[in-house]
Amino acid sequence: MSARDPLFWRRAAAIRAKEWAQIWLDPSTFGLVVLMPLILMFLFGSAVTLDVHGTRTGLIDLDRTSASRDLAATLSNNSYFRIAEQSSVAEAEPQLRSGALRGFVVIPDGFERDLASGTAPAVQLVTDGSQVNTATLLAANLRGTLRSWTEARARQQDQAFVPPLSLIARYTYNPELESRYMLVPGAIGIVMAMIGSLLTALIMAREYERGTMEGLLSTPISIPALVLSKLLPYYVLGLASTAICVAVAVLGYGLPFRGSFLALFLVSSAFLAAVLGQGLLISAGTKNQFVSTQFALLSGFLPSLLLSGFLFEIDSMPTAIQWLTYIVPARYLIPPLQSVFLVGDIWSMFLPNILALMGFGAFFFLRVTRAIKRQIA
Amino acid sequence: MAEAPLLRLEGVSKRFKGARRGAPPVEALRGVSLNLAPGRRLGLVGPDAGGKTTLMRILAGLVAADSGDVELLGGPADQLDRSQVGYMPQGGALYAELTVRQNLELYARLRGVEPQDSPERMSHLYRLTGLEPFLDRAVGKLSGGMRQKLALACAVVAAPRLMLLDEPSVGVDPVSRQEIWQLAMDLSGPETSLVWTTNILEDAARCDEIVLLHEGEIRYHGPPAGLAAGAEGRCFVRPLPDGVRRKALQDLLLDRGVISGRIEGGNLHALARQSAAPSGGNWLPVAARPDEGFAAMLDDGAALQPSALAEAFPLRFDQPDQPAIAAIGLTRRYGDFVAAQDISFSVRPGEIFGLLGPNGAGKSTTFRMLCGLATPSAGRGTVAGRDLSVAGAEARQALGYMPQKFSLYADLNVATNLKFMVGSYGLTGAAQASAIERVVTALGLEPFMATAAGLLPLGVKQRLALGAAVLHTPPVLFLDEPTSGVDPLVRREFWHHINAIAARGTAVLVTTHFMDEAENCDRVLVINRSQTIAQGTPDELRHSIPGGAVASSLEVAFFSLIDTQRRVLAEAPA
Amino acid sequence: MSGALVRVIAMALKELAVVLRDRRVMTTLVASPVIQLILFGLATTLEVKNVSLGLVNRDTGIASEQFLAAVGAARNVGEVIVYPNEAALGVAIEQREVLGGMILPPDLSARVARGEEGQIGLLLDGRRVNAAQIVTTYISEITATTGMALRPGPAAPDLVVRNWYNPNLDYSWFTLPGMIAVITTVLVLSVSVQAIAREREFGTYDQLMALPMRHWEILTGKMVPAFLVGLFNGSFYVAMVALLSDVPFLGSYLLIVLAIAAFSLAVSAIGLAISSVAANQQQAFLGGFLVIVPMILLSGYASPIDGMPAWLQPIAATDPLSHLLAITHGVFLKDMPAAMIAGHIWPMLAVALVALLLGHTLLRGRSS
Repeated sequence: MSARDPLFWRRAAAIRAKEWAQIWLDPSTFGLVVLMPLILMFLFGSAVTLDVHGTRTGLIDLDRTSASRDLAATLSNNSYFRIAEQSSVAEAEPQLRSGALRGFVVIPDGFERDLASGTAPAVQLVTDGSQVNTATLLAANLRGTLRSWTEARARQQDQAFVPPLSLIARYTYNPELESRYMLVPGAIGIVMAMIGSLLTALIMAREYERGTMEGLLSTPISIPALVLSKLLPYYVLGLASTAICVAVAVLGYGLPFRGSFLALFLVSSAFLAAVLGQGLLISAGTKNQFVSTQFALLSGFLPSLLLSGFLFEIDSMPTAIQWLTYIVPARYLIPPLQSVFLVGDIWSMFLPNILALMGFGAFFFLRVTRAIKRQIA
Repeated sequence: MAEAPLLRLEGVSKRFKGARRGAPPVEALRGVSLNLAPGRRLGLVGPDAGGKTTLMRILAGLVAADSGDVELLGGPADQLDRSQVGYMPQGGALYAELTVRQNLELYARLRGVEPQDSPERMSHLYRLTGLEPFLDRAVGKLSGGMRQKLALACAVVAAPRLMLLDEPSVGVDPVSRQEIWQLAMDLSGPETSLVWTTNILEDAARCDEIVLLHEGEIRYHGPPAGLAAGAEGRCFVRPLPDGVRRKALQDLLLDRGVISGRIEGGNLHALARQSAAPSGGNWLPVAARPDEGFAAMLDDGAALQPSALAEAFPLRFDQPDQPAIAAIGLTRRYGDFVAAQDISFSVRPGEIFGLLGPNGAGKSTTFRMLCGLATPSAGRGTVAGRDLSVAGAEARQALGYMPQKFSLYADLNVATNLKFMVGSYGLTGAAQASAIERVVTALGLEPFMATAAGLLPLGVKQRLALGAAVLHTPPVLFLDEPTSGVDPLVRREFWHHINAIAARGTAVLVTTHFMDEAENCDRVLVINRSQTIAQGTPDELRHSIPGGAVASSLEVAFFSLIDTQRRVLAEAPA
Repeated sequence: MSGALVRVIAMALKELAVVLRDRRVMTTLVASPVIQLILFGLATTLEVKNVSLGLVNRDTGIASEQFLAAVGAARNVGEVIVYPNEAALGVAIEQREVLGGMILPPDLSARVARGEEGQIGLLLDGRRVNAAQIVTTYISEITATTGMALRPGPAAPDLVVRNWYNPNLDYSWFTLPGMIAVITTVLVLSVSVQAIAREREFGTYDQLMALPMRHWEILTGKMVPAFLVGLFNGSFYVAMVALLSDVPFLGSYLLIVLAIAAFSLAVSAIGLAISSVAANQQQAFLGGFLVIVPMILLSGYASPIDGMPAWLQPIAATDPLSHLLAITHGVFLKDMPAAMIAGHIWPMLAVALVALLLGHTLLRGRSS
């Protein structure tokens, strides 16, 4: 097309200038580009955390001996738990039901006696199984705490005591295992997905809804020029948002940035190409802003949040859904994005992902240019 | 014809599938054949839904014909060189939030004109359109006339060989209409061809040839004079004194032998079905105008019935001296700009009061203040005795409002729109049903009940909007350019209803750009540049022009009054 | 019927017609949420299953043998891939071939036999925090039990865990009822947020303002479709999950429907407040989005409220979604009594009231 139209780039530039003017005039676009990254960065940096601590836990001490009080004190001092002592199971039960407690620990009668006599007493933990993750982590943390409490007691009695086996866990790239190291890069992906699919979902539908499409189509502009020039400003906005996010992540939340800006730029560009194309295709297909936004939410935002492996492990999903994740562009973004912060440039891993994303971009672009017809009505 | 035609259509047909599943397809065009030579100007007229817009879109290469040959600029339609065609879609396809300059530069560059490289062309366009002082104003804030001029400029910025202008003068005052035509002439060269669709026969009559499209077929193609010939010998006139003309017109329209009638100056005009004068009175034969030829050609032979719309209105003459609408020193300022300055008038029950003035003169602002859509900066307005600033909802209950721009829900069907409106007025149960039934029957909306309002032909849209405004038979009716863009037959029907509704004691406030319509008003107020420049009956206005002469029609008086103000302001010390 | 009621009903019916006018809208409102509910309900698990782990084993003694036997028997660990050295393991982690790896030093068995402490190394991918955290707990449990078997020490308390309401900690019992609440939020907000902005964009706003409708009548009428969409969809999803999945439904259907009603009221009021200030659909939609995301993330669905900063927790308590989540989990799994549900309903009603008053003020402010 461009070969036949000597004014291809000039016409594209005209549309681009118009898009910029419209973006400039609508404060909501800047709200999305600036405010949204800040809000998301804050939420994923400060509010959402996978490190369970401060879990509201009841404690029923039926033994009330020095050993049981010692255990109670150990639990209370541990930041994993927020211990509230209860007198009986009957008292704790309604609180567990209402959600005021996420679990309670019962230290049995005869706890100290059994320990002294060498029989293992059974400490009971009742969890609120409706909060599966909290329940799992509560049990694991309690088990770990009991073990270290036992070892500390053994050392008090026998200075030479050592446990037979111990585990020394190390975490590469993230020694403190801070969940924001994982969540913040993921949130950047969400920001890009949103700017890409949501904003562009609106722009083509709006031309149809307002009747300005008829004016554009009657001019000599070619459809690829129209599509390209509509995408470009939003690509720049997407990059700008990414830059804001990276700044907040590194300066605000102290994330390392071990890779190169070039890698970040290439990965982001490839991803933006994919989601911008997706949004534009939705927009051109529905010609209706409301339906467009619904589609963009369902096919753009939610899969990026839930099926990209950013929050939930893809390996743990049912097999059919694991297959489905292959058509979610964000799946190819999250691993390189996390790595460029925490690891460095792993080109052997980046390149296949970039290629996959560019494939999505090319596919959507071709579909959009076909979806927009010269013919109206 | 020696020269190769610029446009050649041979037996072109186009049908669209029905709006709903199962609905019969709509035959937009049926075997249309048409040639247009370079340098010729074609006026395309015809009633709404007659196929004008479809034909224009085919010419612009935006709709493919189902059958028949289409040759555009000497080649097949799908190889059209779009840079040679300047198409202005209805409404202009402008971006309301962008400025005048941004819109024009966008279309200039899309059409291959780089504004930086040809500043003289751009400034020439700005000068011709008179948009120079408003380059940085958002298009949404322009008056209707200026918007149309800009849309025209956007379409023809690259000096195309073919100009396709769909309704460029709709909703535009007579002065601007003249200017838009002139603009199109100034922008076209000797070889430029022009297709101009309109429902205003005066505009079409300026073209070299006229095509009348009705029900998808060409009913007339020839010189403008030939159209009037169809009504020759069937036009009559009779002078009538002030005050009785409206009643006489109403009676005339109910005459089975009469197609249409109008008031002009002190005279009542009639177009008869046969070459015999209507009964009664001393009718004199008179020369036919193109619009009368148009009406005669489209006449379906049915006589108007007494307005069923009006019959439901209760008689409201119990307080004839109490003004139903009163504007007392209404003023509206936007920053330094005064949009309406000290406007005062009152409308009695049963009176039709016309608000006249060019686009942007302050009519709409005054209107909006009286409907409670804008708060006056000074002064106040009352409707049915209620102050709008104190009793908003009660005052709004007493008025029916038909906005200038179609404001019903485009994606909802007619029935749903009417149900919503009737419920909004608080009508319930049987009253709801009968109000809808009445409006639907009186305005012939029955076939469209299931059609989305946005897909209706313009004339039906306007009928629906009128119907929605009178569902609750309000004592006060506000009509903002009710007939803009509709064909002459629908206009005749509208004024028939309006006259009948006023006769029940309803106060009607109306704005219009058609001076022949304004002749129907009992009294008119002329606003220009935010100020009242004249107020009185049409006769009084005709007698009030400077120089002592009597204007032959309200139109002449109108132009003279505006011109006088312009000169006075120009002479006044700055 | 009073005039006000008639006007509210007229507005409500019109809005319903707008929302339901085309089949694609019906698809997005009914069919696709069902798919999402199932898809996302099954996909969003924080559980870690079938992880591949690497192994660098330099010990051939009994300790490594017993430890690896226990690892092999663990149901959460999938494949164990052997690497010759730590460097190879590091590369595998970098390429995300394995989540991490166990490193057994050459003197492991010997140290255990000598009564010293044998140290097992575990190296995990710090990019995958959640999985790393959970695998650490698995492996440390295996380490401790293997150690006890190799060399019994002093008596230690046994931990007996009982998971009430969800004995097997089935993840879908958490996600499916939770997804009902999340999807209802998205639906209600995206419908309500358009209500007034659409009128502004299409130029019908003026006509609306010239009608004898009061602002509160407009707001109330416009809330109806979003409210109904929430109520209908929410109740439908509850029935669907209760009947078709293996998630138990122990509580009262009526109570959960009541809660969904209160929730829909609150969220549609929030949507209208946004719509009152939006000049066009884009603004409305983006404004809605700025509310949806924090609502979901602060609700406790993605991560527990207990873990949030102390100052943020009272804010999370005003999130209607956090209350609806408590109720859906409560009614499905815990047979939550009416009094407790009421304790979660009134905050939602309070949010509805505040948002409505705000919307009314904003609408009045914008129209004069």
